[in-house]
Order: sequence, then C-alpha cells, then structure tokens
Amino acid sequence: MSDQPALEEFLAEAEAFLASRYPLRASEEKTRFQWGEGSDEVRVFQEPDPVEEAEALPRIREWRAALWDAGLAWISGPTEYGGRGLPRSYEAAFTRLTRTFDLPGDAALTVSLGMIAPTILRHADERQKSEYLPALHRADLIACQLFSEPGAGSDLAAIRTKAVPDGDRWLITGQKVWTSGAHLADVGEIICQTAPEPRHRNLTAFLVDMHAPGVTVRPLRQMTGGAAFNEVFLDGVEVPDSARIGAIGEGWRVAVTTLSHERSAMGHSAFGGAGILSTERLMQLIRHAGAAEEPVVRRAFGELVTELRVARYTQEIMAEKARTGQPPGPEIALNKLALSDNMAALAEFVTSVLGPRLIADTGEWGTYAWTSVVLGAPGYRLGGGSDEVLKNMIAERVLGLPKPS
Amino acid sequence: MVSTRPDLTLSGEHDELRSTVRQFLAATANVRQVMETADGFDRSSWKQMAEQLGLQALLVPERYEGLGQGPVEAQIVFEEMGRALYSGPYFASVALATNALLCSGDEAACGDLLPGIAAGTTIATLALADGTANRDGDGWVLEGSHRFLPNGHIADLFLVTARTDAGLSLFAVESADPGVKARALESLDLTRKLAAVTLAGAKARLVGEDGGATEIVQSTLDRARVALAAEEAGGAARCLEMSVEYAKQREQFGRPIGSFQAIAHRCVEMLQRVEFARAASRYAASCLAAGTSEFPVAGRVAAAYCGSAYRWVATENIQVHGGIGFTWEHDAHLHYRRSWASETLLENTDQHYLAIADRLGL
Repeated sequence: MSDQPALEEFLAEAEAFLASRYPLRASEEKTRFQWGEGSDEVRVFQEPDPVEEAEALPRIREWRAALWDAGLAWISGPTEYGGRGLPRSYEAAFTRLTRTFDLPGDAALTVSLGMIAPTILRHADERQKSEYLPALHRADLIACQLFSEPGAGSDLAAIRTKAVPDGDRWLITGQKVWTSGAHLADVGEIICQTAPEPRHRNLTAFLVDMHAPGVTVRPLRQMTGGAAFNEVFLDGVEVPDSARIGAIGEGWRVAVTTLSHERSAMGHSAFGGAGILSTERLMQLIRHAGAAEEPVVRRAFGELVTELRVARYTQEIMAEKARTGQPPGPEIALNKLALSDNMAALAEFVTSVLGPRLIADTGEWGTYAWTSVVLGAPGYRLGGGSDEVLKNMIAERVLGLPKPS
Repeated sequence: MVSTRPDLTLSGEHDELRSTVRQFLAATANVRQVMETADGFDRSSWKQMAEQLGLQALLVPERYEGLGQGPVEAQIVFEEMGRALYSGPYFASVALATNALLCSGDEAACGDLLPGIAAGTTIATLALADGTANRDGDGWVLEGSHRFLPNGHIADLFLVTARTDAGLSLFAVESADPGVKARALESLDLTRKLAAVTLAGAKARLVGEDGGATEIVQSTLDRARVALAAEEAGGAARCLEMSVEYAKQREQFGRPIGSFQAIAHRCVEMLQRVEFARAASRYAASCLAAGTSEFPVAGRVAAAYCGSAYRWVATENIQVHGGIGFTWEHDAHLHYRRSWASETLLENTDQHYLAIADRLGL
C-alpha cells in the first residue's frame, strides 16, 4: 500500500498517543522481583476476584475504544473491517512498545481477540465481519468459546448440544463446560449439533447472545479452589439464522480454526521471562530456603532453567520466522507440550526446595503461595485439548503417521 | 560491537551451505567401511572435502588462508556432520584445535599453524590434562599422558595443556616428534575414535601467554560445546527420520506400527526434542556470533539439552525399530554409540546443569 508509514514514523505516532494518556511503567529496576515485597501470588490460571474483575471492565473498554479511535486496536487487520492494514511486524513492534507503559491489563480479552476474532475473520460472512470485528477489537463486545461438554472433551466432535431450526431462527438446548470468561461475555461462539450424523459434518457454529433468555452461567470451581472457568446451560435459547457462522454442517471446520488459535495462545506462554517462571524469582526462592549450596538443588535448578530457556529459544526462532514471512513449523504445538512439562517440572522443583512449607501455610511470605502452581499444573496438560489429543494431531499432520484404525 | 540480542535470521546462503554439505556427505558416505578400519578415517574423502568445499577452513580467518565464517555457519555444518555420523577428524581439527588457536590470541602461532589446518593438510586435536612443561633452550619440553583425545591417533598436531611455573599453559606439539606416542583406544563410538597420547620429552611450542591456558581452554570449550550440540541435534534429527520412516512401513497386527499411539506418541516426543535441540544449538551459535552476554548460559543450555536429547532420541529409535534396531547391521546403534559418547565428551549433562547455576550467579 502506498500510504504505509515507515515503521519509525508509525511507532512515533503510537508512542505519542500512549504517552498522552498513560503513565510510563516504573523502570526495570523497580519492577524487578524483590523477595518479600508486594503480593506473593503465583497463579497458573487467572482466577481474579469477581468484584475486582467487574470493576476493571469499564477501564479496559475505555482503553480499547481509545486505542480503536487512534487506529491502534487492530494494526494488522484488513482496513475494510476497521483494521489498520499494516504488516504483522508493526503490530509486534507496537506490542513491545506497550510494555513500557502502565496500561489496563487486557487478560479478559484473550479469548475475544486471540481466538474468536480470528475465527470470525476466517469463516463469517461480510455482514457479520463488519458487525463483530470492530466491536470485538473495541471491546464493545466480549466473547467466549462454548465448545467442551460434559460428554465431549477430547472427543469434541461428540457434541450433543442441539440447535433446532424454527423458521428463520434456531433454538439451542444443551450444556457447555470449561468456558473461560463466560460470566463477562456478551457473545459466545458455540458449536451445536444440527443433524444426528455424519460425524464431523453434523455440527454448526453460531454466535449466541450471552444475555439472551435461557442462558445460565455458573462458575466452575476447579481443583485449585478458584474458579477460572464456567459451566453454561442453554435452555431453548433463540439465535437468529443471521448469527450462524459458516454453512450448516461446517461447524467442525470453524471449531478447528478457533482451537488452533487457542493452542497458539497457550504455546506462546511456554517460556519464563517475567512472572512465575522468572529465573530471578526462582533463585531468590532457593536462597531464601537456604538451599543455594546444595548440589542436588543446583543441579535441579540448572535442569529446570535448561528446559525453560530452550522453550524460549524455540519461540524466538519461531517469531523470527514469522517476521521474515517463512511458513510456521510444528513449533507452536510442540511449545504447548513443553509448557505442560515445564509447569509439572516447576511444581516438582519448588516442592523439593520448600519442603513442608509447601504443604502448610506458616504465614511466611512467598512459600505456601506456590501450592497454586502444584495444583494448577495438571490443568495445563488438559487445557487447549489434552496433550494426548495434541500428540495424535502432531503424529498425523506433522509426521504423516497413519491414523489409528 | 556487543549486541544484546542474537540475530536469528538465516539467509538463502545458509540454506545453500546446508544442502552443499549434505550432498557432499551423502556422496562420500562410507561410514560402515571406515569404522572397520584401524584408523576409522578415510583420508581421501577428507582431502576431497578440503579441495572441493574447503570446510576445514570454515572458521579460520581470511588472513590465515581460511574462509572467515562464523559460529552460525559452523552450526549448520556440524548439524550435517552429526546427521551423517561423519567419521573424520572434523570436530577435532575445527571445533577443538582451530578454536583453541583462535582463542589463544597468539598471532604468530595462528599464522604458522592455521593455514595447514585450513588446507586439511594438518589434522589437529586438543588434549586437556595436567602434564608438565620445562624450558629447553628457546623452547619447551613436555611430559605427561593424555587420554580420550578425539582422533588423537591420526593427528599431526596436538594442542596440549601443561603446567609451567606460571601455571597452566597451552602448547603445540607435533606428532612426528620422537617424544610423542599416540595410539587409538577401543572406543564406544565407532565413528569417532578416541586416543591416548604419551609425551616424554616432546618438543613443544608455547601458544599464548605462559600461564594463560585456563581462559583459553574455557572459551575454546564453550565454543566447541556449541559445535558438539549442533552435531547432536543433527544426529537426533536423523534418528527421528529413521523412526518415522520405519513406523510408516513396518506392519504388525495387520497395520503400520505408526498407527499405534504407543509408537506415534513416542515419535512426537522425539520430534519435540529434535526441534528444541536444533533451536537450542542455533540460538547458542547466534549468541556466540553476536557476542551477547547471554552466551555463557545459552552455550551450556544448548550443551545440556542437545546432549541428553540426542541420547534419548537415539535410544528410543532402537525401541521403535524393535529387534532389527538391535542388530549390528542396522545403523541405529551407531547413533546410539555416538550419542552416549558425545554426551560425555566435553563434560556431561549434570556438569552443564551445575555450570548454568554457577553462571546465573546462584
């Protein structure tokens, strides 16, 4: 495009916009992890306090709307749907820039922007794209993903929630589970059975209004004790045919797109930088526990760091490939497997370092808090499709091994 | 200039280098005949490699008649060497000896010794042990015995550490000297034989400062470990290919064994380690090339990961092949042997883990 600004020019414009509204983040020195300071929470899954979460929502919406108006909410999106039409490298550069500012966190939009919007862009009709894509990127609408059911986990194609045609609308009845953010969502991408068979050709995708009569959302308390997910009950919920995504019977293809974005989002967090997997944090934990001189602990620390770093190196090479326009390899799916393994390894490591301080809360800062990693780690092997299902997929699609008969 | 981020881009020239080396190694491959010979070395393909591709000159700067390439190019070449189980003294001459001379910063020694190594006419290797060195007129004489030298039995030139009054120092010794006795040891790895060398009054030339070997050795080994990691990643990639190919064609219970999840999942786990190993060695090579402060840790991370990944993948490769993989005729054991030997060659995985903790300041 002839009116594409140079990257420096674009970043200068973006920086001016951010600087006019948001404070700079405290310097590296101040944000670095300090033993005993601030919260000692080390959450594996986002389990925010529901009240705080609801209060934060208007601030997030305001920030996204301002970003949209400045042309920065969807930098790589096509211009016909309100995107900026710039290369992905611009978007990546902007994301790096945002890290230097103190901005409202947008974890509540991960599903909307990372999974549902790309699905709509790929499979929806023109009218739906024009309606939903700007709304999702502005956070006027927040979306969730209604896929898994009590009877359809790894075998997702066994979905039994039914959509029954009724004139120019559909009536949806069934139960969905493991729905992140359903309690905040305005709209849900739902996969329903619209014919008894054949398998994979009997499913259809819709966007269901989460505020419609007949939709009930209940928090799902997982083994950590918190509730990062929901159960969603649908009882004769009306959906206009205009809210159908893709053709009748094409729901499986739509779901596959969403799932591939989900795995990519999970795989992207497979390395330690800041946060719970930071090397600095682990070293301070070891020193605090008085274990820094123990050869067994030093060896285990070296091993854990090796696994975490190699996942990061893989990811950086993958990002470099994307930047230079090379096709992605199997790394994203492999990173998700690495994340599962690394979470489990981290749980084992902190357990060996902390000993009894991990199994009972003495009130000592930064110790018992690690139980949430121990309790959350098994969930990572299941999220985004179990590791076993993912391995089936990699075996068939990447290695070209024959399907199990 | 010291950069904070490695450049991870590979160019078309890098792809070309890879395919040239791969083709050459495939065309000259005769691993099984060579490993049965006493020296485990095919001098004619070594000569051909020097004359046609100049690979021995890869890391030698142009002022010493080399190609002046860097760690990123070397990573590609070593990956291919590892895939092909190349049995010549390439690792010894290039990763060990060339790096040792370059790290010594001794211009005169580099000027005298590197052109021969670059031309492939001098085969060199590195020996690390506590021999002793005494002055003898203008030169030095060395006493001591050294074991586990890669390709030491066919080397023309040894770079050897020995103690002087000033401390550990690096010397160059020619194998033709009457004070040098070298013999091949029966080695687990049939494609890279190790040797024992005895020095008894061997004439030696000091390389670098008297007492300056400790730092030279550390940076040489840091560099050599990246080359070894690349070899290991390449070897692991070849094992995966063998397993996947076999899992597709071997039938039991009336279907290809690759359709059983027990086999398919094992292959996926092999793929993961192969991809991560290749990424780790490439990342470390890029850090070394860019001189980033991350290199000391990234190099050990690559060494630890690639060493254990190759050994695991080579072990599982035998399991996927079943009985045929346990026969002498099948190549699976050649990778298995190489992987166990490589993982121990420049310190083992546990030592890498401990070094990572040290280098991160724990």
